[in-house]
Amino acid sequence: MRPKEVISKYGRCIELISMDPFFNEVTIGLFFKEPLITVYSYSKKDGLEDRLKQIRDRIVDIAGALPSDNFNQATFPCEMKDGCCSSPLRFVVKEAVMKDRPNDISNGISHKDLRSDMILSINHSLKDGINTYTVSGDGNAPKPEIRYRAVVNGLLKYGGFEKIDNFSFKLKCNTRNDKLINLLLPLARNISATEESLAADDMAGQMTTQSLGFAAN
Amino acid sequence: MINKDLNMTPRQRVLAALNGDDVDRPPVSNPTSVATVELMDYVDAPFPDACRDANLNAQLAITGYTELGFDSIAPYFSIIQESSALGCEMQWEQKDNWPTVRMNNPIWKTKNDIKIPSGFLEHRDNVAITRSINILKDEVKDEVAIFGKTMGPWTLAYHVFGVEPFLLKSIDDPEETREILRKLMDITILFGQAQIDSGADVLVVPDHATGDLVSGKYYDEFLLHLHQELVEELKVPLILHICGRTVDRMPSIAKSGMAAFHFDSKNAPQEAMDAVNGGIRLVGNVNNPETLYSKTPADVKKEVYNALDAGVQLISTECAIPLKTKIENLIAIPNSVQSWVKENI
Amino acid sequence: MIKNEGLLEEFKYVTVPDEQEHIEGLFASGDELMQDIAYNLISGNNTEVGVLVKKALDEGYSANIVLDDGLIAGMAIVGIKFRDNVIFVPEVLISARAMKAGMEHIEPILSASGVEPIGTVIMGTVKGDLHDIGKNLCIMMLRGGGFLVHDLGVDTKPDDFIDAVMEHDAAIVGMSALLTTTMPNMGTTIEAFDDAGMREEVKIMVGGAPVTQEFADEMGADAYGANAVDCVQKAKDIATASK
Repeated sequence: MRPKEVISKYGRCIELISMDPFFNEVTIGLFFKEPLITVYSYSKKDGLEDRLKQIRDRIVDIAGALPSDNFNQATFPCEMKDGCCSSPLRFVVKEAVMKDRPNDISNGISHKDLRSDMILSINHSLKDGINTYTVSGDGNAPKPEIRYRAVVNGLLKYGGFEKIDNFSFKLKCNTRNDKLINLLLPLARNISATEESLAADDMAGQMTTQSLGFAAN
Repeated sequence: MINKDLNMTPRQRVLAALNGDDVDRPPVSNPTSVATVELMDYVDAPFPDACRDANLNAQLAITGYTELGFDSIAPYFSIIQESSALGCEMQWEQKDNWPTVRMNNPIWKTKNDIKIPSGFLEHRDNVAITRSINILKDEVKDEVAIFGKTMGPWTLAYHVFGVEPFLLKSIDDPEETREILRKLMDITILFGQAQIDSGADVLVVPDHATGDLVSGKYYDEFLLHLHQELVEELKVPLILHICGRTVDRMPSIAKSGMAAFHFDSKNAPQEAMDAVNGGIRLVGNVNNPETLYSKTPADVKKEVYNALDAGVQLISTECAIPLKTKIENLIAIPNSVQSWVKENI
Repeated sequence: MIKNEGLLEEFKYVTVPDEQEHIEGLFASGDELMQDIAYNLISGNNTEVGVLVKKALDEGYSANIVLDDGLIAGMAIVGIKFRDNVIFVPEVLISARAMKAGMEHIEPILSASGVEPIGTVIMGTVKGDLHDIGKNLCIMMLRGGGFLVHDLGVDTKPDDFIDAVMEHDAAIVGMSALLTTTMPNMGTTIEAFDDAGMREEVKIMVGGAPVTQEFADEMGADAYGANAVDCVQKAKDIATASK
């Protein structure tokens, strides 16, 4: 398909992974046109369809998405109305393409904190019909409430979620999606490192006086 | 002036705009590069090979016209081809990053070191461009404008002497600096002419005396007369490209005699038009790192409209686009020009 | 009072009243040799600066006086001219070279003096920014002003600032940025200290050509240094306040 056809059919491009390390360094795009997300590449290399399906299946597996009938498409239970659940997709597709690890929630949603000795946990509960997620921690930290607030802020920022209070939040569509939250927790626990990583990613491939070397050292 | 009845080819449109003549609509041109990683996949011509192999280069370059709808094709994507041919140490990088010169290890120290190596034009990194232009000319004939590119002497000086040593020299020994630039002009002219002989309709001359580093007076003192000379030597329309904030030197640039100046988004379109005051056409200036890279087609449209409302004659991105730019934002540029014409003419 | 004719001409570029008062203060002694050093530094005459600094030290001027009244005073005007786009990078480079020529005679004396540092400062240019001229000037002057300074270099990540503060038990962090596109990384770094629960432990000062007091306030910085001289003064104010 030509680029204009791809855009017409699959919608806007949410994220580009410029070099797939597991398949001939092709560029993988994640597109969104309500209610579907589509994994696509302009490459014509043999075996590409299998790889695109693999990535789609990974997205389903690690982010709690639902596969559609097409091999390279998926959606979320909320059908992504008004773009719901689309905010975290740039992180989801990066994880799906670049890494080969499962998103294990058999022990609940938890990750080690990088700024303290705590193990951060996020617990789900149903309160007045709201699928509520609450951040807590176990272990030493001088001011744990600061960490919980920071984690909630990170999840709001990267997940597009809604705040309930300083330590709790929900998905905008009020569905339950433990896998998605577990995937985002490592990013949310250290916003500055995540921002740094995003900025470094963004800088690659930009031509500026700095990247050309035309900035005084 | 825009005259919708003219019914021009893309090439006619670009050349007319550069000449200040009437056009059927403002052309969308790319003096620098619109190569992206998606387009590289589409034609199976990834960096760095597409910078070093003429066939791959032409395959990738033509997508600017065939897939994006621009009125010109620019096969010289980066700014380092002839510096590689001169012997500079290169970092070719990979598919999603720009090749660069290792300027912390410069090849020359004084004017006496400057020498065009034998076989310079036959070096693979120069042939990648000249041969690509041949291929493109055979393919598009007179339908689409082909833009060659040749580095101006200031940019070459940064590459071959290193930025800090050259800037120090510019103030320690302005006379030697002038002599250096004079000698480097030979390279600019040689490579530029080779591209014209291969079929280039226009030449872009990046010469990075940017406001980041040097004053507007530097342009007057060191470059204006050399740029006027380039206009005499290279007999196709020339487009000067200088990044960054350049409003302070635009009145002088307008005296260069070049056909157009490709300007950066750090200069608002209206203030740029006021600064050149009709002395040179302007090309620009959709912002790259934020608008093209991170925002939406609607944001691109706003900037295109802003430039057109100010009277900018050729619409373009502000510089070589980020390689991970999404195609939908690039297609938004010609689409926006079309819709502006419908709404305003 | 400024007596050196060349210096008087240079002083005309200082147009902000507060800054005029500040610069006049730096030259208050009226000493001709010091003003000669300052003027030659502004003009980028590195050989002359080296000769004059050595002459001053041989004549019994203290290293601190030569540094403050000659070199730093000269760089104060350079900083203002660069900020106001009167001069650009080439001119700053030759003044920095002249400063370095003078410091070659002064640094050995200051290092040997065995004086307890006023405080420890971590200095770096923020993430994404490769400029270090401003930072290097500040570092030279901070050291001259009695601070122990650890230079993290350019393109410094927030985590590196944090790690350095912890490693060196520093109370002051100085960040510089020369590009408007990298200025927001000052905010990111300050947030990082917040995330790390260390915001109360350090005072953070910012500076660089595009940075303003307003921007510094918006980012949550504790202090803003308008130029290298101001940077030292702000660091001294912080050190004094913390005693």
